[in-house]
Amino acid sequence: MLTRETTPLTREKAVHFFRDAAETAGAVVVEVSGFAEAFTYAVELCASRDTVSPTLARDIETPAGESPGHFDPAAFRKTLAAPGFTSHQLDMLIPRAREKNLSLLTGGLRRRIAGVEMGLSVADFGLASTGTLVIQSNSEDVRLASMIGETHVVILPAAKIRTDIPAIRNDLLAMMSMAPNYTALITGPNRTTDIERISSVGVHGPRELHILICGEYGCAAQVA
Amino acid sequence: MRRTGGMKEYGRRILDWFDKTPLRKALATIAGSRSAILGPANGGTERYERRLETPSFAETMRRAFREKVEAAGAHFHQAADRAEAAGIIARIAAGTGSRLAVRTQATTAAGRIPAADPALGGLKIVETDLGEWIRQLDGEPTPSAADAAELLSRERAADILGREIGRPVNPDIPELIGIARRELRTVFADADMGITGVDVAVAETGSLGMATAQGNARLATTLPRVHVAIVGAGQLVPTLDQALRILTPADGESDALPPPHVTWITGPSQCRGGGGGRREMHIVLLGDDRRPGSGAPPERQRAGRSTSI
Repeated sequence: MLTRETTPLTREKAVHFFRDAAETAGAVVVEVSGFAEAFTYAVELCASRDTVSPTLARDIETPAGESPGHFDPAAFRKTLAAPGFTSHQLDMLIPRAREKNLSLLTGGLRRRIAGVEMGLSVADFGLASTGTLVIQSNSEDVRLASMIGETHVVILPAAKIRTDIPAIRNDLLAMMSMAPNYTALITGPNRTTDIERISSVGVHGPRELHILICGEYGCAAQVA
Repeated sequence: MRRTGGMKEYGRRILDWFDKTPLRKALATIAGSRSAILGPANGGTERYERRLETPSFAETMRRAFREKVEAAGAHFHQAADRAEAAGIIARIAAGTGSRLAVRTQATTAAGRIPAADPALGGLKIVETDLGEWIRQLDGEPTPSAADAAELLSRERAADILGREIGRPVNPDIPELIGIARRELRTVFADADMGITGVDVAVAETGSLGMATAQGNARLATTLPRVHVAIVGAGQLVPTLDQALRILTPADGESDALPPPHVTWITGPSQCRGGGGGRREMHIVLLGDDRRPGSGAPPERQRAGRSTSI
């Protein structure tokens, strides 16, 4: 058995340890009071980021005199991919996205795999020892939201922070015993050292990972 | 003069002595019967022979894995060697009409089927690990783990990528990464099949565990409508607890960070790219050295992290 004697972390310590480990792994960690504040943070961050071409490399036509891959950022609205949210949560997100002139994508992410500016997810667990996010993503759209965006923003309810893998062993076994199951553990942005052993981010997945730790009163009721 | 009675007598004397010891009594209590303890010495050869016919632990584990995999809705295949695995992949490709495959973790022993292997039929395989992809563009055969570790300079990478996209590319690592990202997304969008290695497979749940630094295994198991996972026989473990130990930093290295992506997959997940809304999932168990008649050397790939961070 993969168990360990653990005293449950106090909320304060859990957040502290999680933040330390996640930042070490290259994530940005922010504490928010609830979903409303998390959505405000996400839309502002999305609006501040560069526009990504939604066109796949093979579909880009090159006008005379321009380099391949050129596109006019002004012709596209920035896109926030946010599948899997409840209608109550979308009621808070939609007006915020509209205010920043963002296009909100709640499904059909497969048609936008050239890239979107941001993907937004909710984590099932956070692991304080390693700063790891556990996201059960059986839905294709939820999975893609964590992969195709330039930036990935994840809302983590503070009440869902556990110490480490052994502490969620039973939850993992339950998830994995119910096929089909696709459970993703994410620690920091993806990286590669394939060129000159220099660590670089973003060859396949998001270049930035922002984790919004959501306080007790703001998130607990809506997540449970 | 010492009394001698040959080996038979000697053995009888030892058993007589043994029968009088407290140890003998304790063992009898534990096992409940004399024959259970003395085994072959007490006419136990039948018992020994029966044991030889009983499936080994490894075989029992394989059967349990297969049962779980099939119950989860995936297809199970067994291949003695890489050539046989290539043939299985070719048949899956023909059966699903797959022409283009993206591959991850090709340098793990289990996945090292050459991308240009004629046994693959008309299936084109594109490597998606950055270093392996660049080497493939340069016309190199599928690299071994040792080749992949060899240093790839930014100048050489820029030269190869420049030829691929038909314009000069600066030897600037972020720019090179950006080009690779854009080009490989197109390949992911077009691919019919994702071929992956695994880091560990779990018999009790039929699950696959994969660790990647770059995140390409996630795209390869999400976008294409067919997933073929190659599992080395040594990568199969009985329980989730053992699997978690393999894919989790040990206590002693609590400062060590896990790979950026660890993915656990049980059964064919939702896929909106094909008909039916589900991916078609195939698991090929490779390198079964117990299979009679297979002259191929067993795969020695062990479960464990195969990716660099």
